[in-house]
Amino acid sequence: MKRLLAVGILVTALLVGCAPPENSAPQVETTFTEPPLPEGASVAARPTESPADDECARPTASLRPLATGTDVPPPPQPTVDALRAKGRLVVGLDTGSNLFSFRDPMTGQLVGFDVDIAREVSRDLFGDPNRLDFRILTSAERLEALQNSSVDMVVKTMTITCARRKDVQFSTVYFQAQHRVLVVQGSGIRGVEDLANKRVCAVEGTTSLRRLQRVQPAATVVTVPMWSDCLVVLQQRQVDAVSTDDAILAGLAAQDPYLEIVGDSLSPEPYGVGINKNNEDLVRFVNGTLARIRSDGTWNRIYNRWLTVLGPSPGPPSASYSD
Amino acid sequence: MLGCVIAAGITPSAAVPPTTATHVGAAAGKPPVRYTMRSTPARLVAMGTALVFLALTVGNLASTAVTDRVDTLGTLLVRTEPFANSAQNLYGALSVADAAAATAFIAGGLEPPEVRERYSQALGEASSELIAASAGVAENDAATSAVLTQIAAGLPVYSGLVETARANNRSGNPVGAAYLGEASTMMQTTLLPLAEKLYTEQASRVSADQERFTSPPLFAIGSLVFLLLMTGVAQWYLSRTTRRTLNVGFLAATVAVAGLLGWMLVVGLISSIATDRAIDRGVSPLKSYTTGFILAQQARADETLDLARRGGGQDYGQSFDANVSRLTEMFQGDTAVIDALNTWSVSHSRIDSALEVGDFNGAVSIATGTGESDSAAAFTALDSVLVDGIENARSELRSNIDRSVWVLSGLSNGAYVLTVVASVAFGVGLFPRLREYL
Repeated sequence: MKRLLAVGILVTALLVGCAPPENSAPQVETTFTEPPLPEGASVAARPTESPADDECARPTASLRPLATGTDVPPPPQPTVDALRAKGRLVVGLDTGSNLFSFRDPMTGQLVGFDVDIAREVSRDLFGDPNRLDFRILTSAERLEALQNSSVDMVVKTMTITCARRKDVQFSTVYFQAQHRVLVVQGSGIRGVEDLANKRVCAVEGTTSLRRLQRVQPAATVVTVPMWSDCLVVLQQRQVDAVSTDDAILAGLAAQDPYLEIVGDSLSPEPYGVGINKNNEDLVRFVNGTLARIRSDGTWNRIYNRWLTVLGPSPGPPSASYSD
Repeated sequence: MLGCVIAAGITPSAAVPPTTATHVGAAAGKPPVRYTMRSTPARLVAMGTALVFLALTVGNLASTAVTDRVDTLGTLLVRTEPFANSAQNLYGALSVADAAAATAFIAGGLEPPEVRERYSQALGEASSELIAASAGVAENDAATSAVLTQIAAGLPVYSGLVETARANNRSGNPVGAAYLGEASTMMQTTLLPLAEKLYTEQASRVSADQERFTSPPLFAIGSLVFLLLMTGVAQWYLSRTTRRTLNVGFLAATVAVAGLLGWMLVVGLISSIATDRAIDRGVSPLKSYTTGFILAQQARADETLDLARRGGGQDYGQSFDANVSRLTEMFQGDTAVIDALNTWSVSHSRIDSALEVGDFNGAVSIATGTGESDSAAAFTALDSVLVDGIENARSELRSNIDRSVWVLSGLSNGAYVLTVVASVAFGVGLFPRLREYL
C-alpha cells in the first residue's frame, strides 16, 4: 500500500513536471476613452508680460447722439447714409452665448438680448427691425472684424476697456455685468479664491480670461472658442469651473440645473456696442437708439424677455458722454 | 511521402553496380575504386541519380512558385481586397454619418426623420464594416489592429456626443449645437483620418501583392528549360554509350518535362496577363475613384460644417474649392463625374450667394434640401457616379485575379506529378541498360 502510494506520488510529480507551460491568454489593452475637447480648445499660456493695466479717464464715456427736432442742420453722416443705401446692417456676434446671442433650437433663428439691441438699431436705421445680416465671430475675432470693416458693428457681450478703445469705438453702456464663477453644485468652490490649482474655462480674447489670470494666477485656464463650449467641458468634467460675466454664466446655468453661480464680483463689466474707429456718426446714431430704448421702456422689455434669471430689472445703465 | 517512395525505388538499381564493379575490378587487377568510378554502369547510375534529383528539385521549385502565387492571390481575394473595400466603406459610412449629424438640426426644430435615418443607417454600416475589416487583419499585424481598435473605441464616444446634442436640442438648450460641433470635430480630426489611413495602407497592400505577379514565374520556367536540356544531353550520352538511338523511358521523361514547361508557359502567361489587367482596369481606377470618393465626402463635409459652425476659425469655403478643383483635375475626360461636379458647384454657389445676403435658412435649405437643384441631391448624384466607378473597378479587379488563380490552381500539383513521372521514367529507361552489365 505504501509503495503504491509512493509510486502514485512519483507518477503525479512526473506528470505535473512534464505538463507544458501554461499559455498566457492574449490580453486586449484598452484604456477608457475620454471625451474629446471642443475644436480649438487649449490650455492658456500664463501671461508673460504683466497685463497692461488699462487705465484711462472715464472709459465708458461715448459720443453724444445728435439732437433731434432742432433747427440746426444735421452734420453729414457718411456711414449712416451708406448703410441706409445698402439696406442691411452687418452685425457681428456669436451663437454660443445663451441669453445674449444664440441659435434658438426650436426655430434655428439667432435670438437673445444682444440680438434685440441690434434689432432696435435696425429699426431706427431702416424702420424695420429685421434688416440684419449676422456674421458669427468668436470673441478673439471681434476687434479685427471691426477694424477691417467686415462687420458694421459688434453686439456681443463686449466689455468696454481702455485697451480696446485704442482700436475701436464703443457706444454708451447698454448692460452692466459682473464677473463671477460658475461651478457644479457641491464642488466646494465658493469663489475665485478657491480656484487655485483648479482648471477653469474661459474664452480666448475676452476680458474675463485676462482678469482671471491676474486675480488667480494659480488656476489652470482652459480656453475654448465660445462660451457654450465652456458648458460642454464643464459637463464633461474637464474643468472645475467657468469664470466670466454673470449674464453669460446665467445663460449657461439655465441649461443645467446642477450648476450654480458663486462668489463676489471680481469686477464690473460694462457692455458696449463696438464700432469701427472712423465711423463716429454711427456711434452717435447707435447712442441715439440706446438713449431711446432707455427712456421709452424698450430696454426693460428686452431685459424682461431674456434676463429675468438674473433677478428683476435693475433698470438700464445710465449713459455718460464725453462731449 | 513521394520522395520516400522514389528513394526506395531507386535504391535497388543503385545497389547493383558495386557488386558488379568489385567483380570486374578484381578480374582486371586494377585498383577497384577508381575503376568503379569510371565504369559505364557507375556513370549511368550517377547520371540517373542526378537526373532524378534535378527533376524532383525543379518540380518542387515550380510547384512552390505556383503555390506562392495561388496563395497570395487567394489571400488577396478573400482577405486583403475585402479589407481594403471595408476600409473604404467604413470611411464613407463615417463621413455620411457626420454629414447627417451636422445637418440634423442646423435648420432649427426637430431633426428631419430622413436625416436621422441616414445617420442611424450610416452608423450601423460603419460598425458592421469595422467587424468585416477586423476579419481581414493578418495575424501579428498589431499596427492595423491598433488603428481598428482606436476607431472602434472612438465610435461610441462620437455617437454619445451626438445623442447628448440631441437630448439638449429636445430640451431647448442651445448647448446642443456645441456638443454637435465637438462630435464633428472628433470625427473630422480623429476618426476619419484613422479610417483614411486604414484604407490607404490596405489599398497599397492590394497593389503590392499584385505587382509581384505581373510577370510569369521566370525562374521556375528557366529551371524547367534547364531540366529539359539536361534530359536531352543525357539522352545523347546514353545513345552514344549504349548504341541505341531511342530510349523509351527517357523519351517519356522528355515528354513529361516538355509538357510541364508548356503548361507553365501558357498558364504563367495567362495569369500574368490577368494580373496585369487587374492592375490596369482594377487597381488604378479603383484608386482614383476611391480618392475621388474621399475628396467628395470631404468637400460635402466642408459644405455642411460651414453652415453648422458658421464663423468658426476654419475657412470651409476655401477647403471646399480646393477639394472640388482637385476632383476636377483628377477626372478630366470622365464626363459623368465632371457633369455631376458641375451641377454640384452650381448649387454650392447658390448657397454662397444666399449667405452673402444673410439668408441663412435659405442656404440651409439648399444645402440639405431634397430638391433636384439642391446641393444634397447634386452631391448624391456625384457620389453614386463615384461609387459605381468603384464597384466596376472592384469587380474588374476581382474577376481578373480570380481568373489568374483559377488557371494557376491545377499547376501546383501538376508540377509535382509530372516531375515524379519523369523521374520514374528515367529509372525505367536506365534499368534495362544497367541490367546488361549484371
